[in-house]
Amino acid sequence: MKRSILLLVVALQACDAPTATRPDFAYDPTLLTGGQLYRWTSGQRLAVWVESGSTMGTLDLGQAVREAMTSWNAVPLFAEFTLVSATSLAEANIVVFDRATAMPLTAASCTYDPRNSAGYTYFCPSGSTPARATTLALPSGGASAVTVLIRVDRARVADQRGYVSLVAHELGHALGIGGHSDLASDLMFGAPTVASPSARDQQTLRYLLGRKPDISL
Amino acid sequence: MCAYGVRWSICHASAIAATEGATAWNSASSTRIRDRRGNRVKDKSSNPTSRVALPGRAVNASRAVADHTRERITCCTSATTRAFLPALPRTLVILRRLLFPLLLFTVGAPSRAVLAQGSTATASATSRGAWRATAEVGGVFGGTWLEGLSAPTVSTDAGATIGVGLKRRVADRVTVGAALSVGSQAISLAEGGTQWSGGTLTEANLQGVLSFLTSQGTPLRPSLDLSAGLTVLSGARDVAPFRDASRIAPLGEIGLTVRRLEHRVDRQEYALFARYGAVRMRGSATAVPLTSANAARGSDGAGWVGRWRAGLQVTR
Repeated sequence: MKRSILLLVVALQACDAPTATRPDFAYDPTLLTGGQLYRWTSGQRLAVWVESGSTMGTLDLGQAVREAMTSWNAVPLFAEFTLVSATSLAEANIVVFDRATAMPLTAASCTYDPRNSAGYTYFCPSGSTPARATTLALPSGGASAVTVLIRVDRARVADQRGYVSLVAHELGHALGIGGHSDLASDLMFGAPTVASPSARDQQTLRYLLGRKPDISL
Repeated sequence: MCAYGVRWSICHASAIAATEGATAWNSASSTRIRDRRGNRVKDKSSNPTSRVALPGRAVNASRAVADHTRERITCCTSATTRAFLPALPRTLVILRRLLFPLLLFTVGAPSRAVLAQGSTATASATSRGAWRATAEVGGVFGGTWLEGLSAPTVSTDAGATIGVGLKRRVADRVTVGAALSVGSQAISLAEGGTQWSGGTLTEANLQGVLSFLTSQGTPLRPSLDLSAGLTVLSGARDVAPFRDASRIAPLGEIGLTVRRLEHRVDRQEYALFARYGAVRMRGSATAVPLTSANAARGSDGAGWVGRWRAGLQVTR
C-alpha cells in the first residue's frame, strides 16, 4: 500500500507543468541602436509624468499619454512592467512633454538633439555593459528618477488620434523597442498611423522583454 | 518533450539566422548612431518622423544571433525544485506558526487515546452514517504554474489555506465527504537570473473527498484521502497563465491523514494531513505562445500544476 502511494505521488510529481515560450521578434528592436538592446528591469512600475503646458486646439497630451499607457500595459504577459501615472516630476521614470513646452529636465552628457522630429525619445547610457541609463537632473539641479525623456510635437499631427499615435509610438521606444517596423499597420512604423500596438508590435516587445539588455533603463 | 523542444529550438533559431540575419542584423549598420559625447557617427535613418538617440557601440551581429540560439536551447531542469528552495524560509515560518497547535495536539492526545481505547467497535457503530463537520488550517507549498523554455517560470511561494467540510462514514473503513477550502499564495516570476513579483493568487477549491482507513490497529490510524473537484483561481490577471486561462480548473488530490483518536461522534478529533494536489491548467493559444513540443502535438501548452497542502484538521 505504502509503495503504491509513493509511486502515485512520484508519478504525479513527474507530470508536465504548463509551458510557454517567448515569441521571436517581428522586426528588429535594435535597428536604431546599433544592435544594442535596452529595456527596463523586469517587474518595475514605471511612473510616467506628463509635463502640461499651453493647449493647442483640442489636443490633449495627458489624455494621449493615458491612452498610450493603457494600450502598452496590455502587452506584457508576465507583468514585466506596469505603466502608471506619476504624482510628481521627481518620482517619474519617464517624462513626456510637448515641443511647445519648456524642457522640464536637463539633458545628460549625451547630446540632446530632437531637431524637427515629430517625436523624440532620449536617454543617456553610461558605464560598461550592461550600461545603465543616467538619471536626468531637475532644472533646479536636484536629482530625479527620470531616465527617459519623450518630446512630441503637436504641430505635426492633425488630430487627437494622431497625437495618441505619436505618443504611443514614442512610448514604445521608451519601453525598449529601438527599431522601426516596415509595415504601416504597425504602431512602430516610422510614421505611425495606428494608435495602439499591433500584433507584430506586441510580439516584438514580448520578445525583447525576455532578452538580456545591453543597456538597463 | 524536452528533447523535442531542444531540437525544434535549434532548427528554428537557425532558420532565423538564415532568413533574417541578412536583412535585420545587417541593416543595423545603416542606422543613426551617436557616440557618448553625442557626436553623430552615422545617420542614414530613412524615417523623418521619429528617432531614438543612443551612443553607438559595436555589436557583433553573429553574437546576437548566437545568444538568441543559446537562450532558446535552455531546457528542463526541475522547476518545482527551483521554486521550492527560495520558498523554504517562508515555509519554515509557517511551520513554526503551526508548531504550537501541533504541540498541544501531541501532548493532549495520549490521554484522550486511552479514554477512547476499548470502545472502538461501539464508536464505529455509532459514527456510521452520521455527518460530521471538519475544519482545517494549514499551508500550501510549491506550484509551478508555467515553465518557460525561453520565458519566465511562474511559480507560487508558500501560502496559507483554510477550509471546512462535511464527512460521513459509509463503511467500516470508508468515509465520504465534501470540502471547501480557500488559499492564497504570492506569485513569483523568474527569468534569466531576475526575479520579480506577479501579485497574489487566490484560489477556492470545492472537492468531493473519499477516505480509506488503511489500518485501524496502528496508533496513528492513517487514512488515504482521494479527492477531486474544481478550483477557482483569481488574482494576477496580468500574469500568464492566469490572464488567459480559464478561471476554473479541475483539481485532484491524494494525501495521507493521521489521527490519534478513534472516530467518535461525541468527541472532537484532531488530525494532521498532507496532500499532493494537481491542477490542470490550460494555456491560451493566442496569448501564451506554444512551446515547440506542444505545437508539434497540437496541444496548447496545457499541463499539470502540482503542489502540497499540509496542516491540521479538526473534526466534530
